[in-house]
Amino acid sequence: MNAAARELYVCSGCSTLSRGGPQGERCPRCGAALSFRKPQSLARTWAFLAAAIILYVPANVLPVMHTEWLTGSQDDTILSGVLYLLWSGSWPLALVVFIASISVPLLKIVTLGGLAASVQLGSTWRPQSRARAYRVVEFIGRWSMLDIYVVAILTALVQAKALAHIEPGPGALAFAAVVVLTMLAALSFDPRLIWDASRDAAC
Amino acid sequence: MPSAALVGCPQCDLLQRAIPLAAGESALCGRCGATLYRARAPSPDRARALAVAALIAYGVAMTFPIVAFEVQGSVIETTLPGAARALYDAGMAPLAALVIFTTTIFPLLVIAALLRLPAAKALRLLHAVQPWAMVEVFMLGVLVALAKLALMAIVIPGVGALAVGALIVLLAAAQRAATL
Repeated sequence: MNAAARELYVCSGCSTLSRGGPQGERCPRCGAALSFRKPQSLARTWAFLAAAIILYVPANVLPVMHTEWLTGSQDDTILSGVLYLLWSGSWPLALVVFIASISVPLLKIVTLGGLAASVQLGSTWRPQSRARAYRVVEFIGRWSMLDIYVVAILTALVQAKALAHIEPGPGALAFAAVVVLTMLAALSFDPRLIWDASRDAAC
Repeated sequence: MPSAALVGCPQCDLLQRAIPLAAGESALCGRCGATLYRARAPSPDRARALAVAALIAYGVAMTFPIVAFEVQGSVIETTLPGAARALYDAGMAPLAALVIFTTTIFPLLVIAALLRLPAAKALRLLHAVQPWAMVEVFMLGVLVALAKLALMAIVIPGVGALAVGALIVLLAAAQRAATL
């Protein structure tokens, strides 16, 4: 039996079970606004996801970092940054950056799109696996910010004095936007919707 | 009436009866597997104590250099806010804002919220800000940046980096004590 079927609210912030107070639908413990399901969950998820997909292209095609030496200059994209780490011998770090910057954003977009589509179509396919997939996406999303911080630190350290000069490229802005938008999409998605279509919900 | 023995799963909405746990155990939702509650109840006192320690680490992390690097006798170093400043100077204001918010402002708000537990407002602030405070991701970024620079110069991790490390551990422990 779902809490909502008993007209009980589960607070989205602190998980406290309540009937909604007399001072409006507010959690008695933390005061957060209560709702049975996140409002406009699917529409918001799709909107953030669509924006993320569009920006995913410039994020990967445009350079995220521009390096200048006395003898020349170089533009690095997300992928070429990973390849640089691989060639310079630190393959464990190359793997970490590859996972954080290339696998995770793609995985997030595909997974959230799949989850939103499955709910939209009222799918009853393996709700447990889908619930787990959502938890993974929610957990790993933040780690994609990695490359933005790398660019920030390199920009601050490698100034004219260092005989080289590093500047952030336009791709970094698009990439940061993809990370933020996919995080917003994940926060907008309500995993409870996965179960609403399944047979368990009726019992 | 909602009785104390009932819990609602935050991730699938299933209403379940709470059972007593042995030390160290967690209760998982019988349907979707989300964590419902742990044997150790949330302790605002523990959270506040750890938050005080986190605040001290935060102060050091923000003011001392994270990394220094040496080329031809001159030393270049940067602090955490300095990294955001560099992005701003390079004409990337939105990116600088994102870095400053996720690594300095939101973590400070997390600490402030933890210090004011168990006030309802503090709990709400904590839940709103938590996903966006990313000090630990920044730390991994420092590591990757160091690896890239190590090829062209001598790099020295600074006191700030140690403090960031301490901040990550203390914040994680404090948030764990505060929730679930």
